[in-house]
Amino acid sequence: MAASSGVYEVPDGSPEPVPDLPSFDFATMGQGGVPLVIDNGSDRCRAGWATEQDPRMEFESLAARYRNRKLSADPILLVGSSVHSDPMAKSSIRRAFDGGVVTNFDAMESILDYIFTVLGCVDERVDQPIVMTETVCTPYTSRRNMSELLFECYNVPSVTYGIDSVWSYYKNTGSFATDGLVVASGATASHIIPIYDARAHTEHCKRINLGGASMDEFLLKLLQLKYSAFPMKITEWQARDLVQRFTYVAEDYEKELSCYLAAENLASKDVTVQFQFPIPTLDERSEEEIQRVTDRRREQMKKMHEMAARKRQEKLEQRVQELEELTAVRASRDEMDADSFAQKLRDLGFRSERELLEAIASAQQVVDRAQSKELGLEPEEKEPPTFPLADMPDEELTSEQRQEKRKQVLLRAGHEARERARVEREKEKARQDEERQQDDERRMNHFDEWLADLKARRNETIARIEDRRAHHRELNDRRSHASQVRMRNIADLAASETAAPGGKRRRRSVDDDDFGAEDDDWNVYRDINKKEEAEVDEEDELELDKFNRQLSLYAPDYLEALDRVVRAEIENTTMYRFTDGCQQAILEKPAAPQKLDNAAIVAGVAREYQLHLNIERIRVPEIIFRPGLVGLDQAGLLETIDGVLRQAGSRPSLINNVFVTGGGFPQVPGILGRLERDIRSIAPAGAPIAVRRAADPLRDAWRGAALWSTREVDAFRASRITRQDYLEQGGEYLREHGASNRYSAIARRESPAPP
Amino acid sequence: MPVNKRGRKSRPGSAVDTPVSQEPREGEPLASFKTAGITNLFGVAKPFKNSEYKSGRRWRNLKQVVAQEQASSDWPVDFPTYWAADAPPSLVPQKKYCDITGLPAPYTDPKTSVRYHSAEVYRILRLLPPGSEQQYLALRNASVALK
Repeated sequence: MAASSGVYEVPDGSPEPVPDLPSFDFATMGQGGVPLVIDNGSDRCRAGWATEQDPRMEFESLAARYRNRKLSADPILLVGSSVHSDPMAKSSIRRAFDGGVVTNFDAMESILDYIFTVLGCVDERVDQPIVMTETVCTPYTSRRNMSELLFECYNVPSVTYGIDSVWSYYKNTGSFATDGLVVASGATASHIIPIYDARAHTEHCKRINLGGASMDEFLLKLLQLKYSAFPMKITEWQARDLVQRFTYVAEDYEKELSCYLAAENLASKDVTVQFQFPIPTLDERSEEEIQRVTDRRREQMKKMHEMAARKRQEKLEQRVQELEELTAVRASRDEMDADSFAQKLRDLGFRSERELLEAIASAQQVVDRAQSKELGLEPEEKEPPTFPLADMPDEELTSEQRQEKRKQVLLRAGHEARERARVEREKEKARQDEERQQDDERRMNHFDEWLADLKARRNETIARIEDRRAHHRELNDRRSHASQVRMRNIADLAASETAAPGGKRRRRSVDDDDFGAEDDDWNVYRDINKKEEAEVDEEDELELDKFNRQLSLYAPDYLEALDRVVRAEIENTTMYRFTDGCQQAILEKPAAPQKLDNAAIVAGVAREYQLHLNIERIRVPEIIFRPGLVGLDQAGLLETIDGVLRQAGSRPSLINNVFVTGGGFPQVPGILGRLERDIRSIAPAGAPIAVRRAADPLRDAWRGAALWSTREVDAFRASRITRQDYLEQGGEYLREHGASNRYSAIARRESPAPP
Repeated sequence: MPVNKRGRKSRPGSAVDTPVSQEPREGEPLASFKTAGITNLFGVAKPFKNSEYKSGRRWRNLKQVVAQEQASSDWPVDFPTYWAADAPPSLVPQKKYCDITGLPAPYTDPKTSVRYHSAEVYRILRLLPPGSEQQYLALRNASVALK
């Protein structure tokens, strides 16, 4: 099984381009008509000389032809992984293949150019017999175009076509004499081919249109849906990497699936995938430094206070001086005659002596207030102001006094109101003090009782908040009970409002329905108000905060226990385990106060860039056994194998040699065990079953073709399609051999001329 | 130029014979690429090609190729054509799996026809933004596209 648990850091970006291979000397390597073997796979292409152990070249079947004026005036043609080296090439990348079949022969031509160039071909023609793989049941059109390209463009002497997976079988079995069942899977399609009577029976072959690329695609879609708010774009290449690393075939899908998210399995099966994330900027200062900064700030505050006090003092002195001057003017009245005093007053800007007196009084007041404030005294209520005229009957007063009385009445009302408010405030303060004292006392003497009470009150507050939220949620649904009650209330209110002014038709009961007699009646307005009442909510939140603070002070374990319970509740849900694995849940509003250190902050950000693979690990490869999972209306692998076995005459020798090869599903761990188990379920009791994988599922097709063309000399010679064959029989012509497709001239004759 | 050809063949392992070194100007590695040493294949001399060959065709995709081939001729009944090799639809009843989690799905939402595993998954399903259930359905090719 693939590595599980722990954090896997997914590589960033696209694959590194592999530099071009150095050129080889075609002249020495290709002497004496050594066949040039090309395993033309839809994902990767391999090419080399038949006499050698391994292919000389192996590259991605990609070609890009485009222009980039910055790099070159000529068009640029890149083949293989090097297409990833220039971002400008991205939109021009072409595949020669469509679902395992070569359809784009411009791209194919580029790929062949690349092969012949790198292998060092310098003659006017490619003077080597070509051995090339093709897919099972290749459409005639595709082969016709391929032959045309090889014979007309490269002028090859001959070509032999064969099926890649059957050659892989040859490499691993040594001959076609042994019967067997080839289960081959490439990037886009999977085939089941029976081999008996020393050849591949493609007439009984079946193809499921799923391959390795289907898994990548499926996983990518799954992850995009599972983490729709993921802060990064998951690339196809990353999806492919994850498929190759972490998927495996479940031996018993149903059974494994049903307990996949169970607590005891999750830790070992869940994989955390970490994407690269930006490191948050952190406060790296130590405690001491922070302390120093706060100290400095406090010092500054103190200085500013002192300065303000000094300013106030200066102002006060100025005021006192002014007051003294004014008093001096007043005193000088007795020493002057009336005229010169009046003149002096006018010079100072007063119109009469009275104004001067008023100015003195107000200045005195200002100074007094400032002085008492400076000394920290409450502005003492000197003597309560008297309102002598307010209660006198009007008849006893002169008109002037009456005016004065009106003024006094107003002043008295204001004074009394202030007085009442003050008393009220004091009472409230006393009550709060007393409450606090009682609370403290209760806490001291009956701690348990006090705590229980606090908890209860906290729960009540939470319940209130929850209720309001639930109500609000319900209001969003037009058909909910809450919404309907609200509509009814609105209708009732509207009806009574319109009925009232009408006058004539209103009934007495409507006229006087006691609405408002009780305070709760007014709640109806609150109910019909759809908006959440922010201030009420806030009040409760504040209260909750207060409770939490007290609890964390006197019973810290309690809140932590509460958080633990909530966390456990979240962690136990299927959905949480599905998306977050077995990590500790992060609470939106933890009851216990939390302090985040730097490590926790980094971990928090890292977590946003994480995703978890669990069920996907078996769900993704399962598509080959249940194509319905991706909506493909084809039978699964086992059912198809069953059908092929029946078609091939239910030979017991086939299931005794099931051969798995190719770059798609055969790469997934566990596939052999699953296949064996599944085949056993359809095989006759006691029948010998053997399932094996190619020694190298990727390269054995090329090696098999090379081996076959050098070892089976007669068969190889007979299988060559020569230039003459091509000219006489047409492009789709095929000479059959053990590893080839079937050819029927009837089909050829009736097929239309090439377009 | 048969003489030239034979002459080259007789020189074993001569590096100067490679097309890249023959045409150093055109075949120069493109320096500003991410990795050095990548060759622009366009500029490399390709003597092995027939210069008169031009396909100049528009290539059809597999579906079109197969459809055309299938329609245009009478194929023998037993002949293994591309379309005959397609695995037939399954004949066994299909198990249903949760569209969201992949777990076994005993329920189907009548409103969206999304299959789901449990009441808990259903709650998540209700919270999905409208339209995203179609993406889940698209996973198994069951989405309804309104045009």
